[in-house]
Amino acid sequence: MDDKTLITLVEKFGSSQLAELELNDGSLHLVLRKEGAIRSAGSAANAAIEAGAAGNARSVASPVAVSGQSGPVAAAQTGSGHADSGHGTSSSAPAADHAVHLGLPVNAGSPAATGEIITSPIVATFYRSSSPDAPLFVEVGTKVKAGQTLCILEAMKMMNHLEAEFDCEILAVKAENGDMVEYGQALFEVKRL
Amino acid sequence: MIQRLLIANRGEIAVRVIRTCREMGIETVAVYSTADKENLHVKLADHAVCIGPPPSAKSYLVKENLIMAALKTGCQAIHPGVGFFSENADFARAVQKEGLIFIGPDPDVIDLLGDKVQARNTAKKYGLPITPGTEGAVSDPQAAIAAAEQLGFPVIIKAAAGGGGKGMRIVRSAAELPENLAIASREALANFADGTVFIERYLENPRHVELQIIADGQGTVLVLGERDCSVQKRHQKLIEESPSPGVDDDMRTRMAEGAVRMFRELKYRGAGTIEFLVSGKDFYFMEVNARVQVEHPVSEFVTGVDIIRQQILACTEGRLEIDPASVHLNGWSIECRINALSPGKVTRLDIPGGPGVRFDSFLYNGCTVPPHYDSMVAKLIVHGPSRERALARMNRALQELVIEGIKTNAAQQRWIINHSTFRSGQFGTAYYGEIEKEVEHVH
Repeated sequence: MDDKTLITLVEKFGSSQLAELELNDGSLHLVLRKEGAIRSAGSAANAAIEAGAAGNARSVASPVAVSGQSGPVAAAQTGSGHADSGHGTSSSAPAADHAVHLGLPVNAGSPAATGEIITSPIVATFYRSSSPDAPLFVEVGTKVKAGQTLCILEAMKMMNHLEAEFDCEILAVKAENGDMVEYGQALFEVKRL
Repeated sequence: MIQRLLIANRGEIAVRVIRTCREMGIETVAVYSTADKENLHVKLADHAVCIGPPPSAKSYLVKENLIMAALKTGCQAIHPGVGFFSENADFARAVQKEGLIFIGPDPDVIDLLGDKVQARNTAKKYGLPITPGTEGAVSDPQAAIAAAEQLGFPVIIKAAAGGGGKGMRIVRSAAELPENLAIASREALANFADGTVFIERYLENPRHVELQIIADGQGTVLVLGERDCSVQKRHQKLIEESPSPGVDDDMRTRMAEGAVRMFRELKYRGAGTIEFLVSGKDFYFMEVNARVQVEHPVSEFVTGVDIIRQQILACTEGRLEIDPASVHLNGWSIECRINALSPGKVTRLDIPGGPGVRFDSFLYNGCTVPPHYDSMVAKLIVHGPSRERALARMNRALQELVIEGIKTNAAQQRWIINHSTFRSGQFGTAYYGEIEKEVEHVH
């Protein structure tokens, strides 16, 4: 990434309503975070998917945040997306390399709920491990750190890692491995640590 | 026959497509934003997938979520409805790339017809009269003045990539031209990311007349009569009828001959509309809408053809069920668009019924009309043996219609259809502007 791209990225991030943006293109790992930003409600973005699937393998989507909605929050981050690379139509073995990382789709649970609900920011297939033989990313009772992968959401032949936005314990897994999940669908119930 | 189809749209048109699919034995998948969770199309479809938050740009206009929803639910085809992606060639290509059928014409045909300069040239090539205008794009003010003087003022500047009235400027003298040319180009650039404009002679009060086309993609092209859509509020159609009071058999035949030639050569597939401006005995090609249109029910009433059914058959099986010799226009049909003047919750809904009345809508008692989308909430369509009897029926049906909880234009529509000018059938696209002040006092 050249300086100009980096500056543009910082400016766009600054004027967006995103709380955090993490970018890993294989050679560079960049994290932008706003101090004191409210990150549990108020905006939504799934620009990472739009840009990635359009074949802009290394471009960073400028996340367009939407205000005033109660939908989940997603920080858009693209790694080296693989829109056209030979993952084929395979729905059984998500490859973990060259993955797009999605962050923080978090909804505050209803007051009666025991935990917070992490929801899907896109329409995708839900995978609990990186391949059918690999261990599950998380199980009920797993304590995860912020940034740790919770699951893979496969869309348009791209493997999107959904990461925990905060340290938490998994209270329940709300979707089945291999299920189609829709926008806003509950994936995990978690307790903030 | 396909087994399952996704409708990449919402509201009334999604409901319309679901109804025909159910009759054809095709399962439907609805998509919805979080604002539309309780929408009628979600309730009527066999399956439904949430695709994003309320703003269209984050839901109904996210190609990847729509295509993923279709793939993951095992659909073979996507119907784009009207608006949104219905005339988007890139979306059609993306759909086809995933092995799905796009219910619409070939993406290259959409591209060609979507470019107004190319569309005009194509129409001209197949013998359709076009409004006298510049051959191509205009950018130099001096060349523009020379062209306009040759055409005769008033002229209209139009965006090549435009639609919906944006980037259009009417100019009545040479002195006003350079400034308006610059503004139109800037407007075109801002709205369509393309500042190319061209100049045409401006017709003062033409009728807006369009032909309903249905074609099988193999060269069979049928014309299901014309529609008159001259009652327009700033280019938004309010009332449509078929046939048109301003078109006789001779004009209808001349229009249809040129249109059939053009659509046959394009190997057009599915439903489409070719629009003309009619001034006295003359008509001029305006544009093609490469999709089904909101006002298609009036053509369905006078021809007895289910246009959505034929569109799906044409695009999925390359065939139509209509014998060209059997297409006749029977009686008269009129549609009033019912628009919400405010969003909100519908607390009472009485739907008109009886002979010759059709109510296409996504409303139900207790539903919510969200503020994020098009204001049209219903279409009231009637059919009768003559214009006079169809109007009497529309008047009766509008009296029966009760929508409480949201404000609508139903009373205004009733005022218009009873207005002497509308009753006379002698009016053009300037008509609404003349009555607008009076109409807006009607509640």
